[in-house]
Amino acid sequence: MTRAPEQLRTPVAVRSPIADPVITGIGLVVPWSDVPERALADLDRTGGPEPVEPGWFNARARLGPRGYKYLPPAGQYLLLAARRAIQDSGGLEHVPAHRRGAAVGTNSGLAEVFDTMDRTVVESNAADLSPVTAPYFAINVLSSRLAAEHEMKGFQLTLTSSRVAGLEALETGTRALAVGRCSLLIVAAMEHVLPGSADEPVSEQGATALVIESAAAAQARGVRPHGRCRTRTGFAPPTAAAGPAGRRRVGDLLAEALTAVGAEAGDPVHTVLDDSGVARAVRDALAPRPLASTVAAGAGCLRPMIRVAGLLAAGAGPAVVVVATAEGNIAVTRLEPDPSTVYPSTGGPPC
Amino acid sequence: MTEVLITGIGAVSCHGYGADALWRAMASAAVQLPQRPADPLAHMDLPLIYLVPDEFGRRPPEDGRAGAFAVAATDEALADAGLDKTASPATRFGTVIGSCMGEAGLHERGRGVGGWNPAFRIAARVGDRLGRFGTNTSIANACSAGLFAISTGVDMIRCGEVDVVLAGGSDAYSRVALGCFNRMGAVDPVRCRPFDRHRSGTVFGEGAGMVVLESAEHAAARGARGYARVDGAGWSCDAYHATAPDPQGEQITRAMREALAEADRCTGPAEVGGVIPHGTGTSLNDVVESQALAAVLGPDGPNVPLYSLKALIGHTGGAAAGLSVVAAAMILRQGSLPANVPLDELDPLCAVRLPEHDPTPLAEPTVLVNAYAFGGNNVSLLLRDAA
Repeated sequence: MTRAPEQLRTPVAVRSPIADPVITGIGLVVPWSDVPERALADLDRTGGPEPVEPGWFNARARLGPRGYKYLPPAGQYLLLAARRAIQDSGGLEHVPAHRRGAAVGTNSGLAEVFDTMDRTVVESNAADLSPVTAPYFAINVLSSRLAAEHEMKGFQLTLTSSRVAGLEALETGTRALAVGRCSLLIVAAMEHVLPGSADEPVSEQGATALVIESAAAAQARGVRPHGRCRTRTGFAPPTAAAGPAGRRRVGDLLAEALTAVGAEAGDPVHTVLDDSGVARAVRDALAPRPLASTVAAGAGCLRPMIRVAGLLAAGAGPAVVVVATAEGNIAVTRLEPDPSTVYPSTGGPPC
Repeated sequence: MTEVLITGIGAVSCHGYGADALWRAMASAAVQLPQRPADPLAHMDLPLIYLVPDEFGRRPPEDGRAGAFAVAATDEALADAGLDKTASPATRFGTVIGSCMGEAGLHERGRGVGGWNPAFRIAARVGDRLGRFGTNTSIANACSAGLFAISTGVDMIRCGEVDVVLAGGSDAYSRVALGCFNRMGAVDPVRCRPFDRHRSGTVFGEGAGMVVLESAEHAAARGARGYARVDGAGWSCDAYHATAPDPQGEQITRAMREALAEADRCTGPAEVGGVIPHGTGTSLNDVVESQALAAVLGPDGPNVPLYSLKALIGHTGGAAAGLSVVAAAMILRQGSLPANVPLDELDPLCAVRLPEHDPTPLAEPTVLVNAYAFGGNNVSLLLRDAA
């Protein structure tokens, strides 16, 4: 039933740019833990997850008895991580639905579903596709359930740059917060296994979620934030970055990003790198700084976000997370667990 | 608020390579029928799509078509903006590209080389082609991805992160996407005919639409002429259903209103000169958008002319809104909307004005562009003549 046009009078939101975002909720689910600090500690200890038993995630038990059976696994992980982050932050009720935004990063969240659907079309016919999974040819549909479950009517973005997509969601979502497109933001990353039995790169499974809002809103609710973070992504064209001059430009780009996020010389640096030339150039450029950890990149964007969630949850001191990929994408985020820290002014909001 | 201009455009569509080819097709308003992809494994009842013709006999590889279209549109947009050869190394440069499917051919049997590579690599491919160190963002908001990409690029400039952004969208044939639309009964067996009483779905198309966004200050410093100024953008999410729009249309209404309200001087409904709707040809979507337009534009809404681009080029997914913005830029420069591709019969449930036969002068120098997507991802952009 549709309304008459004159009844469609949704008020336009009052834009309230947010220049002081803080993280008030953290949620995580990976095959080896649901606790962000432990998940990170195990990632550091093993260098990556142990072989995962199929069926490790029981959607019925963890999400509820009805309505989740046909939601692809990455979407299930996302829902649980988001629920935990929202619970951790004290709920969303204080923010109107049209002021809630979501930014979700993923690379391989639908890879297995997509492969199964292609096999059906090729070996049989599109008529044999499941009608309930057919909408999931588009990767953003995975996040639509998150928006529906929590009435996130401000916006929903899906970011997909290789391996930096989670941090890309953090940067893009926070920018939207800064220009006033929402008052509260959920930033998430989700991944699911790759199809087939390829050993490389390593599949990732699970999801992380952060709730971000203004420091003033958190204070007004009496919620103590986990901390702040500032993120800057960059791009080093792999072809141009291959030579000595290009490698110097990678160093310059990294330095600009570190400055933009307010990194200090003594900040411990955590890296998630693949074996590409761009990643080697980044690693070399980081050499003067103390490297606190190095984890090999997986197939998707989850590992950097496990690092972010784990460090924030642990309440450790300031830290920088750096990601670099064969495609040329670079991302830097600085975490400041002490929310009382004031960033030096850069002449504008922390876009 | 920092003023942002569109200073260059580039397009690839079923009418060929180049914004000029698109404009010629718009001017002719000829009915275009879809084709069948050269894919023997496309086992489905309606394997219909508007394909990009090969350029100079060269056919992009099946696992690199979307990237090839994006690169071609990028090269054109940068040359059009005068930034292909003369951009200062000091210019802070960003790339934001939207796509629904990415390089889907990589992961479809018999089309890619096998092994795992991220499908959403179009932005990175364009970035490598440009050879500029800067930023690079990939947005996958399905059929609204191109407009979210452009709006994000505008925000990046307004936040002072960059001076110039290459933004838009690109998509190519995907067996899985077309198979899924077949399964959902959402493919029109005849042609893409939004707002037609007899429409029964959409028809996909291939293509790319790219624009160069530039701060007015940067453009002025190098003497560049803008096609249009980005006056405002509005984002929203239905938070309703995976595929169906909220039949109340509240959130698409809000996105349009926010786009009008964001301008430095708030734009009233009477100042909208024309609209390029999302208008896909799916039954409910066109009705809901028609009603939302009536709500936003007020009593004169039914008189505001629409240009239904998808009737000419099909539904190009993540490229659709990129191409809509390219079309809007050309419309603003020309000062009139071309005649629409003729409908057989306008749906009486869609109270919209789709002028046929002759161009329609813009009563106001503004064009509103809408883009919606599965997942309820809505975005509207208001463009104004830069003169």
